[in-house]
Amino acid sequence: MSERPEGTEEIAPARSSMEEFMVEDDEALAALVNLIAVLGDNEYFLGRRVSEWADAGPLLESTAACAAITQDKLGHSRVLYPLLEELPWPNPPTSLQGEQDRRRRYSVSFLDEPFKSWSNVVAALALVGPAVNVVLESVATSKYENLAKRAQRILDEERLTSAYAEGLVRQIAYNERGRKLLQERVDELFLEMLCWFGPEGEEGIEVLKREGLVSMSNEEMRQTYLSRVVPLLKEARVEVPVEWDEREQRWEYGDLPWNEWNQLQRRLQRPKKSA
Amino acid sequence: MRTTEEVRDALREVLDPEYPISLVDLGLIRGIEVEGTKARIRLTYTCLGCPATDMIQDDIRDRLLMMEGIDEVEIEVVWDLWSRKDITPLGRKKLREVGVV
Repeated sequence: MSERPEGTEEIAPARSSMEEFMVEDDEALAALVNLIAVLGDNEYFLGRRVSEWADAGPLLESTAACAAITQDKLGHSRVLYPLLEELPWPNPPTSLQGEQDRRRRYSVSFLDEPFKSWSNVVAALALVGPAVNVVLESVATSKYENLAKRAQRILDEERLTSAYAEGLVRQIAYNERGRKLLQERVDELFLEMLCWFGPEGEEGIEVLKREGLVSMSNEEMRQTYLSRVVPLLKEARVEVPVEWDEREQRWEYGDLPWNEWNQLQRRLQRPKKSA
Repeated sequence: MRTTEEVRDALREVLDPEYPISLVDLGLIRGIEVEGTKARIRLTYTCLGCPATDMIQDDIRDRLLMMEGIDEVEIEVVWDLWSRKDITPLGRKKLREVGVV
């Protein structure tokens, strides 16, 4: 006999959230569509890039972990993309199944090319993953229930990946060669991730907040992110251009390269490196 | 009209593609409603990256459409959280028998 009351209304209250969900403000709807595309693409390309190390990690265990993480990340993108179809927005970005499915990418530029080094995998899992999770936390109580519920489920699955990624940082930084490689990758990626949350007071996010679709402003997300990733990087002796301001109780990060920032696609426009 | 209990009993015969326990015992069935000849099933999965999502839905449909009095099956994936605690005692017993859990 079952101990839990499976299949009851207590566990799965009847709900047809799309019938109830309405966004009156077109700007909020546009920002919501963009946010979902950004989350979906970053999950997708994280999965894709990590998958390319699923037969090549430094240890058998890390190789197997890459396969598991890939399955998770692709699964996350797969549950986010259908939301683009159900929102009343004309011509939303399409779901990605293959790398070239869509010309315009809404993922960070760090994920554009196959990773040449294991240090890229570690940096992506340690810096891109937590950023995506902070945004997911911001939508986990969204009044758009279909998104909130998926975000909660993804975050539940991410607990293990986050802990594993922290272990990878400690592992790679254990010796000086690994630490230097990670430092190089962090140098390439860190500012892009700080920009990723968008400029302070960005209208699209502000309107999402006013509409109850996200719970944090850009700056709140960025500060949350920094509080999460900087202590680990410091512990691993990886330097990052931020300082904790005790008086203001916030992280100071100086000027960010907004002139290179693509606001729509949430990525830095960087010239491709020559080989 | 079929009852929700009858539908649930039918779903006890639908096995998870990976382990020899039913979707009910695995804790994936999160709601059953019957309205006339239509059965509505609320379903979650053990993980978002589950590669067998379509197969599970097909198996549910195939089994319920075999029931007299059911000629339509509507499945809503609700993405509720799932953990090992959602496995029923019978499910845990069966998984132990095959060396899992």
